[in-house]
Amino acid sequence: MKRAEVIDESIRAAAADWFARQRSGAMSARECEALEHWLQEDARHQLAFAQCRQLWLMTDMLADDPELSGELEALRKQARRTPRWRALVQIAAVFLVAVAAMLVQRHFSVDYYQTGIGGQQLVHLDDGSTLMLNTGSRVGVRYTGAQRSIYLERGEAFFMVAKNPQRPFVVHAAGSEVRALGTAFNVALRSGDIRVAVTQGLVEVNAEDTAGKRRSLAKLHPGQGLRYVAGDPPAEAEVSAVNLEKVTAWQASKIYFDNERLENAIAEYNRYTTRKMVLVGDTLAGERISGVFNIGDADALAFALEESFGARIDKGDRRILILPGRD
Amino acid sequence: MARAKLRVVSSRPSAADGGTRAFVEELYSSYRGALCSYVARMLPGGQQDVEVILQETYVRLLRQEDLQPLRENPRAYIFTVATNLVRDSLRRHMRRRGDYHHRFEEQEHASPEPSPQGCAEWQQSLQRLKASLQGLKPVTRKIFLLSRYEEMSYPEIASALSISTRSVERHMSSALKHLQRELDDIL
Repeated sequence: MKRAEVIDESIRAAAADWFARQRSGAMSARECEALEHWLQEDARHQLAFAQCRQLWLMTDMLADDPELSGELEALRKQARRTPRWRALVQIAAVFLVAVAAMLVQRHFSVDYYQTGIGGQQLVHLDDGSTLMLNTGSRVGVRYTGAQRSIYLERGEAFFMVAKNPQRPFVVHAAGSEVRALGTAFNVALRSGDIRVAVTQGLVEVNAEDTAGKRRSLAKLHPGQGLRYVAGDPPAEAEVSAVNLEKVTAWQASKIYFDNERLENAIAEYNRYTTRKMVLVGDTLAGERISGVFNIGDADALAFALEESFGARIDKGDRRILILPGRD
Repeated sequence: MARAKLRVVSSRPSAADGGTRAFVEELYSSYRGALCSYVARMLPGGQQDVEVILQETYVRLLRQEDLQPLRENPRAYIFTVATNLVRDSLRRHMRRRGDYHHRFEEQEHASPEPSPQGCAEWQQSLQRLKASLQGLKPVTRKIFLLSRYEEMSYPEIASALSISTRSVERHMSSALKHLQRELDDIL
């Protein structure tokens, strides 16, 4: 059979476009979903996309090729070189920007706090509020006379807000706004999904829709939560009861699984550690796991996997392999 | 910490029944030949590695719960499974190569790194890939090389070449399309 009969030109082209788009690292949540949808639509789409990835990997084997390296050497110089007059203009521009930035900073100073993988940080804010940052998270804090603004750029944070009706406390996350008076609540931004859960007080969630219009999604009471795709909130927000123990488990450096698929549980566990667990093969991927584990305690989790699923564990310095047991 | 109790709920599908097995077996054997040369061209390491991939492909097919996609488009489906396995294998191969390289430097050996041993088909594929890269239009090639080997981001490349990020993306896509066309009979 001729291959062309299987994957036609247009599928190939679409796969190349998607792959190039994905490489940009700038895909929105909606685009990620669209790609996922496209892949699921047709086995041929999956094949064409897999082949792009394969081509990409193969090119890596040419990294040491003398001819290509030689060309790259020349390119490197060219890419870095800037004509002198442009350099002067750039210096002038940088200077202007710096002056402007200094002026602007007086009005809009933003402090950033961030944690690396496995890190957590408690931050005391000027007004008596506190925020606790979970692993791999980053927030900007900007206080003005009229408003306390927090920008959750990635990851997850728990907020305990000092009450001040004159100065609302607003958490911004990927086009959404979570507004609070005196409350405690959790906001997580994970691969385009926003999750809000409230432990105390009242919280209002506003979100931008696909057209960029902002509207009120829901008011949440203690024990309630909301989850939706950033930038594409549902028409009718579905407020659900949340397991507060689960939502706040991370603050006590615990991780909580409730009948979770094993592959998801491992992905979750890996968010907290640089010594990643790797599930080899997909025999175990769909197994279900429940339990509470200490973050970073790989031994306990590995032991549990050994005991419950008969998994074989291969511990290395940099990663821990989980292999299906021999039947 | 107290060892957490696990509630184990197995969702592993039961072993394929006879009918499924016969169906998969028949499909697999009709594509085995094509699959074999496909894998050999995409993967360094020779016949032994090819056999491993074929075996694993077969096992995965058997394990499928939903046979619908397999019925609808058997060839695309089977080749996707194989391509993904080849990809994983190539990643492992590169990691090994990286580790090897590392140890090598540590021990300060003077002899040059041996070229990766692979089957003839693979070497041939690599040479063709290289030729295709060299056949790209100059701007496109420049962008592809910077992205691939300099690991520059699209915005970085865009500002270095004074073009838009969007056009960097378009060039990347057309580079891939070029490779797809040139290596059509390998893919």
